[in-house]
Amino acid sequence: MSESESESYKILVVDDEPDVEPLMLQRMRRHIRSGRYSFVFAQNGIEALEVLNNDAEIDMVVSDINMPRMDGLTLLSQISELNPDLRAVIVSAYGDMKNIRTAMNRGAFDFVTKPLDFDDLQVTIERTLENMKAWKEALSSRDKLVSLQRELDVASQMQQSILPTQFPRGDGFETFGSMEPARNVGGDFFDVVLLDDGQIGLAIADVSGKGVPAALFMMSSRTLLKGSAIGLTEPGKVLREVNNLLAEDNESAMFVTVLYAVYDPATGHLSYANGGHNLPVIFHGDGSCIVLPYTEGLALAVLAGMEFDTGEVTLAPGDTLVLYTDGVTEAMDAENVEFGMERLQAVFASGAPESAEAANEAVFAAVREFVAGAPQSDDITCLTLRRIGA
Amino acid sequence: MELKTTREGTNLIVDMEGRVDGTNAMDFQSALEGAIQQSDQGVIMDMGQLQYISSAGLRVILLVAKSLQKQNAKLLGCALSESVREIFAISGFDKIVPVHDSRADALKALED
Amino acid sequence: MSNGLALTLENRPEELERLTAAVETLAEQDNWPAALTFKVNLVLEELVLNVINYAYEESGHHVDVSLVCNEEDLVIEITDQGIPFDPLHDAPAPDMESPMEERSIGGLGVYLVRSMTSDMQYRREEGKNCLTVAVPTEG
Repeated sequence: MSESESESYKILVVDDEPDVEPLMLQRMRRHIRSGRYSFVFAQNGIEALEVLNNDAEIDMVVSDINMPRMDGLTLLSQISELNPDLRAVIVSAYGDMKNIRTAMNRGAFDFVTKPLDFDDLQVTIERTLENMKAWKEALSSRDKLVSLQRELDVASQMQQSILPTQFPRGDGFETFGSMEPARNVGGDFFDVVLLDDGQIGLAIADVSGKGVPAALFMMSSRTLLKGSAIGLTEPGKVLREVNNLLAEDNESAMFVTVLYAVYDPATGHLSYANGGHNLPVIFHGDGSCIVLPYTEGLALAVLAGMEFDTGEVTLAPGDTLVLYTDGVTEAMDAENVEFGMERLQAVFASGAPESAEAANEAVFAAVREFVAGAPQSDDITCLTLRRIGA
Repeated sequence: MELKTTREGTNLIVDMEGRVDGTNAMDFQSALEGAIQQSDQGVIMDMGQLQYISSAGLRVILLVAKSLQKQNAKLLGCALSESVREIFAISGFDKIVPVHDSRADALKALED
Repeated sequence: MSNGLALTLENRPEELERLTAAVETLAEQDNWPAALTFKVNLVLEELVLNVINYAYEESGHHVDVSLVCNEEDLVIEITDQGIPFDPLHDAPAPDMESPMEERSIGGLGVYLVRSMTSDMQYRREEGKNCLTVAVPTEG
């Protein structure tokens, strides 16, 4: 993330529109001058493959989808065969969910929408590079004997690299998420995805196991979840698809608990599905709260063909939805007493939070105050969504 | 732990008796895997005489469920005692292995 | 109920049989409902096997198990002198590939134990791991 790092990266930009090259060079000039990025350009998939074949130093690809001769989706499948370490970001028209979904399923790391917001693109590029670095280290440390501490460091970098750094907010809603990683074991991640029709997809998950295998598994869980979320509207169907994909070649018996919800800012309607995860809590404006009703669903990747129910609720203006992992409820104080559900439900007893970020911070503050410095044994993760108003 | 297997057409019925725990789960696994044939369409675990099962035993059931899925065969359970049924419910194994009250019900479910 | 048991096991998985036998005897004496005997056996197996498999690097060590019967719950205490190891949090995830004796209770075992106990506390003191859990006698 930090610009001060001296690494430099070569990025291939593939787009058939002639003004992309000058625009990119102009808008990224600061990062080009500092030596962090250098750019190579191609007009279509065929050209891009030629460039990639001749230049082994390219670190990532930013590609348009609709191009003559070879489109971006075909290019993606070729790239993963050419060099699985290469990361690709897809540029697509806003609302072109079908193509974005196909791109994610073909291994794209992320996507940005047109018209291009260069700040957004730069954040996405940084995240992608971060992930690529972590991925390479993870692979190389998997292949050779490394110290446990080293392995855990690599895994933790990988984990950090897939967490979103920007949180969607809009008319009447805002979101916020954060994670406090545990020193050695942990496998939490979360994601917030902009969906079709202005809906918001929210996911929180906890991967079993630790170290590099768990981090790689986390990486595929995140990508598959994002891809499925973009293409399907019903949360139960999203988890069903992700489960089938993850279970397909999961010989290692890892699994991941996931709570996935879709929020419609226009109506406050929230649908959700649960794969063995902790049930979220909705805090009302008066400080009271409800735990979302249980819906059937087993942790993902255990066995293919499982069904996941979809539950539905509506957020009233002023309501805050809190998604969390067991690192919150199972945080322990020096006496080994757990934080527990009751304390979580009491966090806002004295008043509703002012914002999604404040809600998030309040949960962390309550946990921190409770454990009072006792060592943390699991990741603590919390993702909040607030319906603004009244 | 004792396993008795019988065959009804392309279905295998496994009578489980006694305890499956961390000390004998490996034996349970090899006995069960040894009894299953590639041509089996359904496997019914009759747990009427199963006194006890721990996570080690559940893991074997999961492994078998996975490999049966690969050969497009179904794995069912029947006649679970109250305690075993509770373990299945808590662990979510009742979703992995559909559970029926009796062997007859399980066989009927395989026919459908 | 006022009975209990105290047992010292060697760190070999086969020792589980001795533990189970002792629990069955106690259950018979005190007329435990079948469901309670099942739960106590399960909690003990998951935790004790985990200690046996992970707390020591070599054989020849011991694990102390005690069980005290109260009106409302049975309190189980498991003590060993191995490396600092908290079965609630340090247990590696289940690994289907490794041989059975090396498999941990991992996620599933801990999950089952958590569902069946009302209170779990781990302490590291005087070079010992000490884990206490309570199994409610009702429900």
